[in-house]
Parts: sequence; C-alpha cells; structure tokens
Amino acid sequence: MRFFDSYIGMFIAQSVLHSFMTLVIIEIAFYSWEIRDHLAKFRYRLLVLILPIFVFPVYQLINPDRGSMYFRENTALFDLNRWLAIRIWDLVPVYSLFLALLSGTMLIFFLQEIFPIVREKLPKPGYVSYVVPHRDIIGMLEGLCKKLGTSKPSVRIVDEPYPMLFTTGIKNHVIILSKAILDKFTDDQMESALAHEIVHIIRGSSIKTQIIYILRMLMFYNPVSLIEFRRLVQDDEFICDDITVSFTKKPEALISAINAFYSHPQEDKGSKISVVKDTIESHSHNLLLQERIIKIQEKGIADTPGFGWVKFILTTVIILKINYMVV
Amino acid sequence: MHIKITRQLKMVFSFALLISLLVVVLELINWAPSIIETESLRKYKTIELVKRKLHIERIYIPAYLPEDLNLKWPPAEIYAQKKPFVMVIMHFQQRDSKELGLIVHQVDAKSNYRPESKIKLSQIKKESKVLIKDRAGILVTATCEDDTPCNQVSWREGNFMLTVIGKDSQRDLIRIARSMVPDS
Repeated sequence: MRFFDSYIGMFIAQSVLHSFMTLVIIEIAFYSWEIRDHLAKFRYRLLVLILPIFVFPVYQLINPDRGSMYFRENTALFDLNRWLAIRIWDLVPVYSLFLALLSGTMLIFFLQEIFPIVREKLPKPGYVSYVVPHRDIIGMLEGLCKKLGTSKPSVRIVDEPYPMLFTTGIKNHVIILSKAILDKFTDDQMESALAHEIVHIIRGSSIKTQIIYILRMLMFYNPVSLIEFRRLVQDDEFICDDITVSFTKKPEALISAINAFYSHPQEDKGSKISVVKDTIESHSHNLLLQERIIKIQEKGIADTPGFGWVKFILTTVIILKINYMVV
Repeated sequence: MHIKITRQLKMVFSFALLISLLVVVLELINWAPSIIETESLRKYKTIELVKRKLHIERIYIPAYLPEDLNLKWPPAEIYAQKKPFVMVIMHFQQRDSKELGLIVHQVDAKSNYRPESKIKLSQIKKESKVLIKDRAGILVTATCEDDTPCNQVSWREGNFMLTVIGKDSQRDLIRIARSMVPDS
C-alpha cells in the first residue's frame, strides 16, 4: 500500500485515474458538443493518451504537497488511496485488486503487442512478392494519386489466399495487397480500397500510429490507454473512409470492399484455447468492420459541428482542472 | 442565426451540467469509503469527537501552552484514524496570524510511520538527547522553509511515538512536551 504513497506509485495510480477521468470528460464533450466527426474525435482522444504522461509531474512541480494527506483530505475531489486502503471482508485489500488490474493489463500488453513484434523479428519464410500484370493496378493508382495530388507509392503484391491490404513506410510508402484481392475485387472496389490506402498515406497514418503506439507503450500498465489506443486507430480508419467516400462518391463500392475482409476463424485448427482466442479476435475484427460499414451508411453527419478550438481548449482546461484534484 | 445561438447555448449548458454532475459523483465516490471504513483517516472538529468515535485508549494533549506563543485553543485541525493503525494529528494556529504554530503527532509506535508535517524542517542544525520527564527523547534544532527557527521533539510514550513540532524556543517546546505526559 505504501508503494502508492511513493512518487512512482502515485504516478502509476494517478496516470490511470487521469486517463479514466479524461476519457469520461471527452465522452461528455462528444455528447454535449454533438461531436460525430471522426477527425475531431481523434484529436480529443489523443488527450487520453498524452495528458496522463505529463500532467502528474507538472502538478507536483506546481504543488509538491499535492500528494500529501492534507491535500487529499481537504482539497482533493477524489482520493484513490481511500479506496485502496479498504479491505474487503477484512481479507482482500482493494490495493491488491488494483495491482492485479495493472498486472493484467501489462500481461495483455506483452502478449498482444510486444510478443507479436518479437515473433515478427524472428527469421521466417518471406512473402513471395511480385507484380501481377493482368490488371492495371499501377494505372489506377496513378490516376487516383493525380486526383488526390500526391506522389504514387510503390505496390507489392503478395501471394496469399486471404484478403490483405495495408500500407507501410513512413517516407517511402508501399501498398501491400494480396493476390486474393486482385482476383476478387471489381474495379470500383479496387479503386475505393486503393483510395483508402492513399488517404492513409496523405494523412501520415503510419507515423501517427507509431507515435501513438510509443505513447501507449509508455503507459503499458494502463487499461484505459489500451482501450483508447485501439479506438484512436479505429478513428483513423473512419476518417480515411469518410475522405475516400467524399472523393470517390461510391460508398457502396467501399462497403463491399470492406465486406471482403470479414474474418472466419477455422475451428479445426489448434487447441481449444487458440480457437477461442481466434474467435474473439475475429469477432472484434468483424465488429470494427461492421462499425465502419454503418458509419459509411450513416446520413446526416454533415449537419454536426466539426472541430472547434474554443470547445477543445475549454474541454482541455476542465480536464486539467479536475485531474489536478484527483489524486 | 438565432437558432444557431440557441443551439450553442444548449451545448454549453449541457456541458456545464454534465461536468457539475461528474464533480458531484466524484465527491460521492470519495465520501463512500468513510462509510465502509469508519475508522480510517478523517478530519474531526473536536478531540472529544475523536475519543467518542474512535475509542482511542489515550489522546495526548498539551496541558500547557506558553502565553507568549499566542497559540489558540482548541486545535484548529484534528486528523485521526484507528485503522490501519492509531494516529492523531493536531494543528495549533496562532491567534492573530492564523499561521500554524504547533503540531502534535501521536502515532502507533509499531507502525513505524512518520506523518508528513505541515511545519517543514528544511535545514537540521543539531540533534540532541533530551529527557521528557523520565522518557528519553530526541530534540531536533532546525530552520523552517521560511528561514524561521523551529524545533522538533519526539519520544516514545507507552504504545505511541509522540512528536511535537513548533516555531518556538527549545525551552518552550520541551515544556509543552512535558505537559503532555503523566508523571511516572
């Protein structure tokens, strides 16, 4: 328990609390300011990831007594230590449950995010990549890039039987797509899918995602950061979908292209645990796709206000003020 | 235009209302543990209230406060807890300036806990042994953060560690400390 009275302990506990409070306040802002625009949401959500890293040291610099019991007793709006000191049925201390929550988040972080990166680095048979000449992908891409006013990225086609489409690279972008897409997609679907990737390139999604990922890594113990990181990545997809549709004017083509990415886990492969894991992952992947399709189909977004600096600054000030009194 | 202003006002009202609601909810959540753990740290108005609510075997209070120190009785702030260990903190203000003049800490000796002091000793000049009646104590001569001289005396009294910190002379502080303990 005394760990949470130390500087590092207070930082860990308060960064989780501050993330949560920021999340609640931005959800209030979304509701009150009628924010439906994904670009605006993306900017607000960044606060959940960024603020908790910096605010605690700044608050402590402004008022070194902020962690003292007198501040907690007289000024604080919420003092986590009051809850952590409680023992449930005089047996289980709440702080051990809080530690278990942080440890669980760390475990998920390492299993879901660090372990796959390490696995990627291990030597393995490489993708067979080649350019398939039977469709004029390059011509289509050149046309789209010209219309969107950007330089043409490289394209790499990989011989995989399942649909795969993504962009890599920070300066020199490469669009990677699987042969399955090349075989199945109609011209309209292909145009929408490629336009979506070009929008990612124009928006600098790769570098943004990497920066956000670093911020998320700094908060590896924080369950709120874990959730918000995913929502930020989702928001980026929604933003690119919106721009793609406004450019191609073919929402149905993008919807049918997204439909192709639905995942169907194979039940006969691996152990029961890996089947359950695959099912959960596929389900969440499919939910995201479904949400993207619903967002594209939604009408009336144009009527909602976009990003406003005054509202954003006001919300940030409220977040900073409330978090100062949450210890 | 009128519709736009009305809509904006509605948004501001809704935001203000929900934030106020959040603050109320936070205060409620912050208050809830005091119902569950009735003996945890909290602020009390009087020493009698501490005795009545926490049933602490003994609360050590100074029987003597030098007149020239101008300290106000009763203590301006009292913090006390019984769980996880017994602790009583008393803050005495000066009559005219309302500045803190004297602090008394009473902590369960087994806990090894040293509460933060509102009178902060910034530079310790000397530590010496002192007798509080027949109990061995340690007297710390120091300066406070505002460069004024301040002193601290601490000793073990039964099951408790008692600490008295004040912005007064060593002689006065020892007198105050001695007035807190019974003759053995």
